[in-house]
Amino acid sequence: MAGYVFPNELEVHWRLFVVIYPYITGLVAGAFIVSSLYHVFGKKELKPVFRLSLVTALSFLLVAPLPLLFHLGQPLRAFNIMWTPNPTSAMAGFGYIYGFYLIVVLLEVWFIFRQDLVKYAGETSGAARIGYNLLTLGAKDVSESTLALDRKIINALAVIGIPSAVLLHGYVGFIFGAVKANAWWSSPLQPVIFLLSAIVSGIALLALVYTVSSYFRGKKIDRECLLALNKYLWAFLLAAIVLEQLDVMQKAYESRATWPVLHALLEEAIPVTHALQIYVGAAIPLVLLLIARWNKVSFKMSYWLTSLSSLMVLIGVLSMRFNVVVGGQLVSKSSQGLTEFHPQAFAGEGVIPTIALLALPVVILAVMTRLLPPWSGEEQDVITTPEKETVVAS
Amino acid sequence: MKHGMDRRSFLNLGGKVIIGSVVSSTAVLLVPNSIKAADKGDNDTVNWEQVWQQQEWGFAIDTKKCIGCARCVKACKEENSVPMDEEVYRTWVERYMQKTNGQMSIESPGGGLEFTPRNEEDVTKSYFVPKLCNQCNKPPCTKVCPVGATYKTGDGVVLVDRKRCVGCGYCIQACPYGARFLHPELKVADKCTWCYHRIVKGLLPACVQVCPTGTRVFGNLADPDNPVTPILKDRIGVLKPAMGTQPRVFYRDLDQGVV
Amino acid sequence: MKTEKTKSGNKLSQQPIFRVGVVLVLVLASFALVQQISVPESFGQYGYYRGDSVSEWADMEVAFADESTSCAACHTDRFNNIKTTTHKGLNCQTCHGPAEKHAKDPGGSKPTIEASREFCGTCHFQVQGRPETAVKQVNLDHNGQVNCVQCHPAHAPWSKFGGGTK
Repeated sequence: MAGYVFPNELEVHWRLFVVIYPYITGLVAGAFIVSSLYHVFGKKELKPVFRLSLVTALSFLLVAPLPLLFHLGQPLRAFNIMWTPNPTSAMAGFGYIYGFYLIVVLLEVWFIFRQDLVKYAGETSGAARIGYNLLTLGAKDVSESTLALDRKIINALAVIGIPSAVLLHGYVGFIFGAVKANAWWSSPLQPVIFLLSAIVSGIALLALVYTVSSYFRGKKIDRECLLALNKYLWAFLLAAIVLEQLDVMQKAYESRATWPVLHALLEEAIPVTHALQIYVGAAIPLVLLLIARWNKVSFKMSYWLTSLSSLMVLIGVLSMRFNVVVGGQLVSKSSQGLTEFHPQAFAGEGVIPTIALLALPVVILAVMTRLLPPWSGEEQDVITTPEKETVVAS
Repeated sequence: MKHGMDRRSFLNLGGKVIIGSVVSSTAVLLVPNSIKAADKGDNDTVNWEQVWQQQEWGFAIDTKKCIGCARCVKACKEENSVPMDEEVYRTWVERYMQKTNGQMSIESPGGGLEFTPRNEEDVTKSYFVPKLCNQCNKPPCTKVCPVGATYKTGDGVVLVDRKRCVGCGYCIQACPYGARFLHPELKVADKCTWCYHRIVKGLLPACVQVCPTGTRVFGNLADPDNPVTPILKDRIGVLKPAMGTQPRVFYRDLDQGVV
Repeated sequence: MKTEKTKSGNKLSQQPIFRVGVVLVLVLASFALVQQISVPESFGQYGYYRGDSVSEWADMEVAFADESTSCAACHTDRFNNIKTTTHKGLNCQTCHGPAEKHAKDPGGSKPTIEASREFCGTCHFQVQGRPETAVKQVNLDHNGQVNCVQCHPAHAPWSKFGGGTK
């Protein structure tokens, strides 16, 4: 479908950086929700990853504004969104919602790791000692009464964190879902879809970080924990894909004036990434995750299946972000044609800078796990060199 | 109330300051400028509110008169320093050709500057339609701007503050008419202003001025002798009325096939 | 957050909640301060935008001159003549391009004119979609490749055929 696109639509304005922005915030929201499942909903089986999930959330949260910033035509004016946020703009909330959420996550990480910080400040020397001392903010009281208060605060923060995470990502969905001019975006389901896929991607990321880090650290994987992640991933994935498909089905069935061009979008413009979203990102993982939970499958198999599914889900959610963000812009507002998108290697939010931005939070995470080992319940052996162990069924 | 003392004794110093600071920063946020605007009182600047009371700009397009010469497209780029060779347009002209099989073929090569004569035989009707910013009564673009950099003036024109626009592109997404673009050189959102810098000086918008056939008609609706009002008495249409944007460019004899 | 906390024997100032609270307050207070001074002075003058922006738009220079005051002031005869021809509906700058610079500095900047067949053809060639009654239209190869203006001077297209002025 060549058709007609308005002359100003020949260029796609929101490119790969805007694709990975909701992807990264989604990972943050999802990873945070895992820690909340442990803290607030008492899912004790997630204990091995709850600290990891917070550090993961923080690593990605720190990077989240970067793609947006680099995408701006005038990056130096970015703070205008904080000085004069337009009350009628969905996007204006970004600065404040992000800022609030960053404070909540930073506080929670600080309170959870405070005891560790005090310990490292005592154990290390030189620059590290100064660094850890600074990070404790001089609050070195680790008496039981103070720690009890810390725990109360941590719980309160976890409770505050859930609506914050929901808000942070739900609003990203609203940014797209509330654009009436765009037939592909406009849908009240969009915030819910974004939120569910965020949770899905966050759990998948955490499962992958957990299995991969355990592998390299030569640590045993906690079977209960991995299967719990598997279970939540499966449930949220099912909900996410059902709503995503419901949205498309409704559009197809209603067949409004805009459907022919949306149909052409799916068939001609984004068939590959759409297939990635549905099959690689949802259908196959839904089956594999189920098999992994089957009690006749060895834990080793289960471990590999869950890890593979998580990777596939991560690819699928990234494809979904692409299909929404770029896909929606390919549809001309004339409803009479599709424009084209050709990402470059470097320039104009190219592929390589995009990969670099996606890799950045992983690097931050790797550094952070060195400075603040988040491996719960095994604090005592973090200093020792990890000895290789094969992963076996427990 | 006696609660006051009790509550105070419960809060330690830190808590108090946190709450106080949050409240004050929120207050700053909510009433940032009503106070500041009041003590401005510059004499050397125009009071636009008074100016706006005397004018309400109106734009009409007599579609049957358009010959597709695209002098408007060229003049617009020249008047408003829009790069001539880039695919960005404050105004453009579309050609519609209704095929005998019922299909509508639409094109706007080079915004209308590169129309070819064509002589297709399976065409039942064909016509040109100029497009520009509709300066909507309910503009979705100003609604979504995160920083308050695009706004509607009191005399009915939507402008972009080039010094504050962050270039996020949300307004471009929100416009149902494709009227906005990112200025390739200034890196801020740009769009038709009905030549605001001309009309406030008593001149016509450049596109209206150079139109050889009188397709484009512009005037101050508050002026009883304006040339737009007579056209509005005719059968007129607006683009995409279902969008609820209440467009303010009025098309005489608008064909149903126009997108 | 409660007073009982100090009962643990530690000073209030060493409590984690106090320490982190102070940091938070400092961050929020400095933000509020910077926010306060970063809002442009005229923001909110007329609405949720920078009021001075309106004047900035209004003060921009024009490129196309007002022909009745600028063009007609010097090229009076030509201006008056063309208004009696079939080209009376045209603005000088429809063909000659923007002339405000020329009007301000007549010697320094001269508007140009294309006299090619293609240029006349932008209005006068038969083009699909062009309403037949609006302008006189000719076939692309009307009179070979002779420049239109040889027979139809743009300022008085029919003068050589006894129509219009001069």
